[in-house]
Amino acid sequence: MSVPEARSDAILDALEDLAYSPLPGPDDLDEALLEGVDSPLFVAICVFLSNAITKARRLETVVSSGDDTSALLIELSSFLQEAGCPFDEFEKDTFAAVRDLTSRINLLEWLCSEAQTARMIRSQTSDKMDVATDFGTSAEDRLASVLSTLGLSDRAQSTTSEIFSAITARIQHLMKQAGQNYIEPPILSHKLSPEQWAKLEDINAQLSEEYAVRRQMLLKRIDVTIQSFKWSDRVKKSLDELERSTQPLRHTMTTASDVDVHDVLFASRDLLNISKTSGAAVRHATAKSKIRGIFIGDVPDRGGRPTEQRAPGMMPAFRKRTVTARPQRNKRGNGGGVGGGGRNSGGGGGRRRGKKGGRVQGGWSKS
Amino acid sequence: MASKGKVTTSNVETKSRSFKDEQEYLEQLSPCCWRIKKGFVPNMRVEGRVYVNEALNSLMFEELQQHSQAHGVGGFLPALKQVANVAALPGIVGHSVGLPDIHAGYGFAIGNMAAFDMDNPEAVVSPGGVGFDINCGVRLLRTNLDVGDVEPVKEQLAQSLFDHIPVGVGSKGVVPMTVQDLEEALEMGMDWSLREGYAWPEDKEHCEEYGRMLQADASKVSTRAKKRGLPQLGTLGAGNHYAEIQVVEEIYDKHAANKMGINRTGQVCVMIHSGSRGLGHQVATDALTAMANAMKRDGIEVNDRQLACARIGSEEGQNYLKSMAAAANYAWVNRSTMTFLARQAFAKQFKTTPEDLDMHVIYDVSHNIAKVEKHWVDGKLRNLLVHRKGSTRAFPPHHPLIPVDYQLIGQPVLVGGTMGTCSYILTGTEQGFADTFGSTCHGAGRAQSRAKSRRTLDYQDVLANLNKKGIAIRVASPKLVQEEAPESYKDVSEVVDTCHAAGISKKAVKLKPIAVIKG
Repeated sequence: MSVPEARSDAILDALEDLAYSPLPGPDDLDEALLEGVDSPLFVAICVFLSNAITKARRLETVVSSGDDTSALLIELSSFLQEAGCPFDEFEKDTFAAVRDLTSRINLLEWLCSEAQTARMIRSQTSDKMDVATDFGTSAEDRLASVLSTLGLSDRAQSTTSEIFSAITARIQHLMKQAGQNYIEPPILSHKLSPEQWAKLEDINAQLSEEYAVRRQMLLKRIDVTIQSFKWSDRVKKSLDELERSTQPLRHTMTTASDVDVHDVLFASRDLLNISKTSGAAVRHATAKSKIRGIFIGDVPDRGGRPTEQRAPGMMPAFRKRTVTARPQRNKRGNGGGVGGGGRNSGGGGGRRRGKKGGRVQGGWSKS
Repeated sequence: MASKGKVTTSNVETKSRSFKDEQEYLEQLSPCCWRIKKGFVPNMRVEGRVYVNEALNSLMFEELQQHSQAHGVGGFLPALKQVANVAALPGIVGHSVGLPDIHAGYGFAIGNMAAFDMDNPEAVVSPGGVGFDINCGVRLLRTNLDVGDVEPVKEQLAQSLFDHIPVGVGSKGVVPMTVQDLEEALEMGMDWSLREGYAWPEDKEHCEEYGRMLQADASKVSTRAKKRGLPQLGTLGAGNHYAEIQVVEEIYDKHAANKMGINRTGQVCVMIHSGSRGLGHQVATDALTAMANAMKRDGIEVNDRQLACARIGSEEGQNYLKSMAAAANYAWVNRSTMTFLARQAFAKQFKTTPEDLDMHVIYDVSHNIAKVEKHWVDGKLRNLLVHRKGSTRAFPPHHPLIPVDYQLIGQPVLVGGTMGTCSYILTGTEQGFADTFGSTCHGAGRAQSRAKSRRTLDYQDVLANLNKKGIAIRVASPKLVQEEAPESYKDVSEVVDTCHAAGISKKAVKLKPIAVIKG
């Protein structure tokens, strides 16, 4: 028995279009089809195609390649059922069906066309929204935590719908007890269409990128501030302590933003309240420092009361300079008076400022 | 406002034109915006834009008229000419922008903003575009006190503030500082204040650049500058610098005000206006000397000798930017130290802690500084060196460089008034970001010279006026009372209204003083 050339060529073309890599030669494919599940290549192609379909159509069953042929066939069977495989023999008994060459060829042909179709539909709907399903813990764990939070036993209900109706009833009961305003109403009160979610996803991606730049800048500022503490002679003696108290906190701060689209659903009305900057919440974190309670000693009375001061005298009227026999170097300090202006018209850049200049700083050597 | 504009006659040889001819080059684009066409002064590379409204433009034109009547001889260069001269500097992009509080300064007018393309090797940095008082700025603290709590003890509180904060020419700081401390403060800015316990961690969040310019290099600051700076750290200084106890008079934008922690009229705030003292002045002076040589070497031609500049990439340019950043850090440490002292004065007066008085920094703006920023020019994102002299950064909501807390309302802009008038909090807008590279006004802006104020105003009258308004005053040198009288300045409300009407920033809160501490 042999594989019809036209059919195996069509499968090869389809695999090439779907970017299967490395692409097998025609002889390799024929051999794989003849050997069936005993051929690693046949198994690999089945896994590749079924997973491509699962991803594009967001199905649940994932076929994993393994050494265990029966496990593979069980997964394949449930996948074909979920994907709606049209061949009766596979629906009846996948184990028996894969033993037949024609069925195997049918299977690969169908998987190829299904994967291509799914991909085309996906690209045309432009539905970019990727719903995150991996929350790090399994659905069972999360459900168990919901049940224990609500004080429900996870053994009292047997079917899924029973569990959820028990949860709903319990929440409604608790909400009634807590009163109407216990939870702020959500900001989002309308249902969003898939297009709107996709747009939101797009906006979030842009904002995340934008805010990563800002976070990067703030992190740089934190780093230089920490560094400036390290320059202090006092701190140099206890650098280890400084590192111990700052580094663990610093490591938790990253450039990437953890805001996701589902945060929109969590957002409640209290976000709309304007809270003043450096309000109680901020102060709670920073006001602990003892240094804020320190007061400097008494300061002397410096006067400054206008009633105690004499009105300034008028500027002497302008008089043309008369040439006298006085030596030139004695020009400093003469005629400064009140409001001398301190202007030095020389091109040298105001080096010496006459009488007023001497008054500004004591204690420095004349340069 | 910040740098004492030492205005001297320009050496530029412009053919003197009649006032009427000069007006040909000026065109009113909107009720608040004027265009200065190319040709107003020679070699203009871009046009000028000046934001003034009806009430303010008479001052500006008067200046120009006097200048043309004198045939360009004597007196000072009018602010309009200075804006145009800046438009002739190499590498400038967009427009040379004049803001409503504009008045003549050294080289650049005070209230002038100009951006230079970092990717253009010819582009320059000019110390005149930053001013002598590097990183002069305004900081506002809120309190949870009401005017009723403060009014009975106003005189004592004013005295306590005056006693705590060293003010006036020649005052020395009270914070113990060594040479090593100064070096570290120049490098670290407010991180130093935080480390030494003078600042709260949240203070930094509400400062431009988080109170520290990372490109600062203390080794580029001359010994002479450090010698001037060491004893002055933590002092208010003289001139137009002040500390004021203010009361919220009006709230225009409830949402923004609430976010800043201002929720009612009558709430008491503290405003501190100061800069980098003698250190910043010396850094600017040193740079001007160095740049005069660099200009000769690189063949840079400018319209006004005061516009000394160097290519951004040149050694002189880089040295200036690094030392300017160090001086900026000094100014932040300076304001932080005075914040510490103001908190002390309040806490002692009310026998509680600054914590319990909720004395948080609302924001701290710099209105004399040059910064590298990204802006859109002709549809392309460009790296620019933005000079703001007597001009405040006003970034719109969502800009990455404004604090997380103010992301949704835009950057708070603090506009200090004069003794006895009022101050404002504005917020940045998208339009300002597009039109003026995110810049707006910085204060009232001088209307008459210091000398003229001394001649025309009477010391006792000025004091009596303040007294009538219920403002307590403490002043270190009496002659400043006349120089800094409200009459010497433009009307800050007109200035702010112009910015609001032009859309380059938005009014949020109005504050009026009840006590003033002056140098």
